[in-house]
Amino acid sequence: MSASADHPRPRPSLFASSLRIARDPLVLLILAILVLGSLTSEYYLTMRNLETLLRFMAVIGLLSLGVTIVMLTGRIDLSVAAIMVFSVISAVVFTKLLGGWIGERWVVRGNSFVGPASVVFLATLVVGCVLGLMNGIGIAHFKVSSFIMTLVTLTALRGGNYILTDGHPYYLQSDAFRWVGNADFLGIPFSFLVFCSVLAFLAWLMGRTNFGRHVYAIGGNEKAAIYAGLKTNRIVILTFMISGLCSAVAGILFTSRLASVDAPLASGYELTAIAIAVIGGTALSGGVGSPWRTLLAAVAFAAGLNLLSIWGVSTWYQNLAIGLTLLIAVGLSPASRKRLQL
Amino acid sequence: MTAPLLQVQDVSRSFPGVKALSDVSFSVEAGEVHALVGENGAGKSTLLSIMNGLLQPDEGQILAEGEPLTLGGPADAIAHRLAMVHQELVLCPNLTVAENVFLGRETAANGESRSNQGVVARTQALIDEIKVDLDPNALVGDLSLNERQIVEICRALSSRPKVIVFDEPTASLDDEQTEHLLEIIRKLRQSGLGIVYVSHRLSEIFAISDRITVLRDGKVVGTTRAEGITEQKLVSMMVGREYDPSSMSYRERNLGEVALEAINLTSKGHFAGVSFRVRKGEILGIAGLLGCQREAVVRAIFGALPVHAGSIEIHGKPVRIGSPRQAIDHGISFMPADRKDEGLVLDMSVEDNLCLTVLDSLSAGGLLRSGKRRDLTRSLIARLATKVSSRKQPVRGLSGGNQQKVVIGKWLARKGDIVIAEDPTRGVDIGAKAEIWSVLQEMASEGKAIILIASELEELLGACDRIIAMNRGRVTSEYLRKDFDAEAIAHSFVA
Repeated sequence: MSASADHPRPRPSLFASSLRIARDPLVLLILAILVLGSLTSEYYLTMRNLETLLRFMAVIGLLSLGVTIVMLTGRIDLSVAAIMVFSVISAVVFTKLLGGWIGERWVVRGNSFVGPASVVFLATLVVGCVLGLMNGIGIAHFKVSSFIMTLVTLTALRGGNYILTDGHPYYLQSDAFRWVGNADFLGIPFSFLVFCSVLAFLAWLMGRTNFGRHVYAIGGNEKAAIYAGLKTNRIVILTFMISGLCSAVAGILFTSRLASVDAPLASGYELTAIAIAVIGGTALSGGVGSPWRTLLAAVAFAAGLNLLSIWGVSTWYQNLAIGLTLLIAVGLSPASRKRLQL
Repeated sequence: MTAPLLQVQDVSRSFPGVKALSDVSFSVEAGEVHALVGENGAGKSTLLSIMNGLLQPDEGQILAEGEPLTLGGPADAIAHRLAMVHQELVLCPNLTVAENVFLGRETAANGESRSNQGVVARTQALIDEIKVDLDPNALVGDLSLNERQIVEICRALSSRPKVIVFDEPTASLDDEQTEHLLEIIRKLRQSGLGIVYVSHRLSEIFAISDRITVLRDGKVVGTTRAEGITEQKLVSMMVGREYDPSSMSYRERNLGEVALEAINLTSKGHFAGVSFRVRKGEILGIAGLLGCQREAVVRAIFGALPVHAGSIEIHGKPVRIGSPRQAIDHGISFMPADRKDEGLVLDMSVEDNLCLTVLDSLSAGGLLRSGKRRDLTRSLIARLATKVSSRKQPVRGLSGGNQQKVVIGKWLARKGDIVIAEDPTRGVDIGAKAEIWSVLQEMASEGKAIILIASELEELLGACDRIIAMNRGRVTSEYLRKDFDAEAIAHSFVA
């Protein structure tokens, strides 16, 4: 009845909503991993391990957040890990050249970079954005499929990495890099705080703004979105720019921690990022998913992988475990169940 | 006396919160067309799903020639010689007719030849059996909708069924194609098959069925012989109250100045030299058969299809429309016929869908304002008498009629003064139909210019001030309301 729509429905109580969250399979999975970890290893729940875990999660989480936003439009971004490394490398090289122009030598013996980190950071973000823009323009305006377009970007940038570094790593030696890589507040790593801020911003963007509604509409039914007069091209391009920017931020955090950047770094991370988004319930067909769910998936993923490492499980079996988790996640996801619905 | 071919016995089925079917019984005899009718939500889809093995009944059973069946899935249904022709055609466009007909059954269980030639020959035999003209080697993607329907029928026939269930087979066919389909069904009946026929279109029901079972709110209201009942009585049974046909009727209006004029519009490959005008307060119908390109004409006006020559004037001023966005900025609204493909974002809520066209005006600096959205949504839901459990309900779960009301509401919110409505009552039940027609009449009375496409000529005759007829991409004739003559108009489609 039409009247029922006007009835203010009672808000679910705090207790009820926390019960609902607690029943979420991902939350249960995280709890199970934490309990299992603390029972089987005295090392698991130590500050030091948790810090490592959060640092890893921040990087991989940022990549999956970017991928999530793109996937919500029904597209895919395979180039996130390549952008993450390329943006830092190109920023370092750019800064080196900049130094050359003003007569400074910022790369010293042993390929150590000692120039201003702030210039590198800024340039990294700009490169990430521009690469996202290029992806977006190719996909939105030239109608290249996102799979192909970002595969091309991935391949080209991986090549570009070797060309720019000549196959040698750059060592990032300045206090700013060290600080970004190692600082923590009350035991919480800086990189994790950055991740949280990006998450909060994206959650707000997707949940509280027109832009967010438009992204969901495009992923849910692109034709209906076009017919409703949405500027779909512009929105799609923006999602790829967000993804590029997330990758650049992840690149800064990742390479600062390592205090170096090398061409083959983070190979295959794009698939991990997509896996996390899918485990979080993001539909490959678009329109379903949220940054919050991606957060839960990233936590579960990082915590689980960390535990497997502590147990001494080899990488091969870790990969097998990721595969199985992915299979279960896809099986449980509403998107795959939808087809059976009548 | 022999047992009926198919018997549904006291079937009940509940879903969380709803009893979709309670104690439903009916039977199909050999050589009989048994129609199932009811408004959306009456339980037809649930019943068909149970008959197809997709759902299990909570109580009751299905018997074939007296034998109780256990149907675990569509494959079981086919094995028990119960075939289904679906409303939404489920075919692979990239395969040929023959490949589609035998899809999944290329290897024979009983040693029959299923080589490519064998499959083609057997498909040809099926095509001959229903006496139609179709090339088994044609690509399904190249076929028209009614030809695809024939492929579906061949697929159903290929399993040698005793009973075929047709689920709204004419939903996307025009009058001529419908007649063609009914002819095929008559032949099938003659050959001794039992047919279950589900449709919203009462004229077909009366044209084809021997018996009619009416469902309402999950219960059988009654089963009657088709010749013993009038249309009005049948509708009353369906809606559960006396039916007033005048609610769908035309209202006299004053026409204003020209709101939109198309001058010699041409879109290559679709239509050429199309000119017409529509005034404020006028409902202009475009009549024609499938393939007459009237859908292309309205899409071109809405900027969704390129215009290669000619011009469009709005309120006397020439405008350039290159995208739906620009069309909307010029005050044009477009309600597409295909709700699921073009009209709605199914996984978004009623509110999100209703507000999609007007988000900018409901927000401040790009931020959503939930209060304004809520107020607008409530007023639209109330104005259109939309049945929803909550404004947050995903539109996927709504019935066809209510989904259509959301599409209309979306454009009511936008307040455009030129409205294009394409088949606004397709797949919508009688009650909702009347409401939708009355909303369109109201919109015209408010001074909006309306361009209407409807698959049934009857509906255009009932609603429009003026009708233009199209044939193969050209406007062939024009009729004012006082000169409306169904036969003459239908004739001009094919002339």
